[in-house]
Amino acid sequence: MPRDHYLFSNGRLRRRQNTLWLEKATEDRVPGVALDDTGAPSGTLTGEKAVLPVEAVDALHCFGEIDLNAKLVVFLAQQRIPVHVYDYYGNYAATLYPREYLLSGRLTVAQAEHYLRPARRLRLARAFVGAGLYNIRRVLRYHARRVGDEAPVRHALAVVEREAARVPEEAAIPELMAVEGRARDAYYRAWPAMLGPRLAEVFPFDGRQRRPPSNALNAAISFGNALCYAACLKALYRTALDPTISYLHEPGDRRYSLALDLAEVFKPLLVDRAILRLLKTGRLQPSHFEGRLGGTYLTETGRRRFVEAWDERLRRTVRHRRLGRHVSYERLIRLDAYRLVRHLTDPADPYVGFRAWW
Amino acid sequence: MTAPRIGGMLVGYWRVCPRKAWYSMRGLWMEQESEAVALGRLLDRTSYRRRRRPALIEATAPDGTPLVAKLDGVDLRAGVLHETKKGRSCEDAHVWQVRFYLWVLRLAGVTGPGGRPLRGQLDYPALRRTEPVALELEHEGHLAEVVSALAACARQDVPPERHPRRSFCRRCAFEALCYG
Ligand code: SF4
Repeated sequence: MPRDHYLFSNGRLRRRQNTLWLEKATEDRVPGVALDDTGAPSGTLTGEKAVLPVEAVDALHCFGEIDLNAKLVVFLAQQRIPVHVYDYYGNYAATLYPREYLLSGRLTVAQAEHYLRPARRLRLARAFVGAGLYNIRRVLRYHARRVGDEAPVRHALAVVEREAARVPEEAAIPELMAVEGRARDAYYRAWPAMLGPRLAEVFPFDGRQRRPPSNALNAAISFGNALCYAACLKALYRTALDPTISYLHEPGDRRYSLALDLAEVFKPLLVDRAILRLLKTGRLQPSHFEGRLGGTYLTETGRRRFVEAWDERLRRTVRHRRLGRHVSYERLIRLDAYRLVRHLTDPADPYVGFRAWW
Repeated sequence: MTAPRIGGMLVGYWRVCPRKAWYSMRGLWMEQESEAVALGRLLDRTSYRRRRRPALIEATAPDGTPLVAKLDGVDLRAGVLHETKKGRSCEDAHVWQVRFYLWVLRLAGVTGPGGRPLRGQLDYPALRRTEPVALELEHEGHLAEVVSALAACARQDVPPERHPRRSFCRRCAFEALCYG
């Protein structure tokens, strides 16, 4: 089974017959200092090479500064390998999205139709928010049983439940977004309680701050959300769905805004659970975060640890009820994309958004 | 949606499951399926090279539906139409695909040596097997019905029901799309 590969070092990526070659370079860049503008790659090639057979690659994530040429881009496109690029701080920057290979004009028309008709758009937007909040509830419930001081978690659970009950009532997208925002806020405020007093002291949290992330928890959440977005985008690429037409998010919020919609469903299950686990097991420590440009970011080691845990999580399997066999967490995202296809082609088969049952 | 030109693969799909045919007519492919098709193409190019010519034959069904047969290889001298397949031998869908081709050829007035109708043959290089396929009169009647049904299906906005036998779907490439 081909997998995602995460490239952390600087260097040059090349095609050598049917293999990808990463020629590594030294880390010459001084963080926070203006990068040289000569156009030359940072660092000098060390002669060290890593070889990746192309059949083993499902997608690439470039965290280091990687040089690539047109020949490689063509090859990656032929092999249908999307490449996600992150900036120095680990923020998602761009995706090299190969030419579509699964196309359905009729499906694109149906997607646009569902965007243009308010009732149809709302139905889908509600499904994304509804499933997201449901999954948040699962995380809260799971942790409520495991902490000493349950009160803050119980409180958050009550708020999320109250907000979730409004999802079917709100009649416009902005209100739906507000419902989601309030629920998420209460949820994040319960994180210190979910982490327990010792960790809450080491990782204080003052609510969600994105740009730049104000503390370690925010840094971890932002990084995880970027990975989740990339995973959802890849799932969409493997279907005939057009990733630029979305429902909860406005097309144009991001170029591939449908990936944001899908990520709404999966973030609690994939990102939040991964972070809580990383912190509780001590795999992520305060030393894995650093302050830069007035924000907090994961260090390279921190990112490596996060990605390792992320990759394990995506490949973990669960028994799928309707299919009656084990599927990976990653596959669940694709299956949800298929459900969206079904919704778009058949009103009698509505999309409800994946709901974790464990 | 105006009825598409109907090809042999769709006829095969229809026999397996109308929903599968509907998805395909909408361009809703499953990735594995497109890979299998690509592998199939590779197979035709690498096996049985001799005296084969790929051909595209068009004809019109009795009900006016446009038909197209994309033929892997017609051996005109021997009067044999070959279709190369990987995987399980003599699947119903494969057989009907070949019958459909023979039918299109007959409707288009293409014959073999001496004006005799062409014969069909399924080649399974991976299994080292071949299977003869004949077109009987009753098959032609059935093909005409299938083509009319496919044309009607293409105009339908929603997909046909799932296959009644859930266990049947287990070996269908579209299972994740239907049940995921
Ligand atoms: S999974 Fe079943 S219902 Fe769906 S296309 Fe295949 S055979 Fe038909």
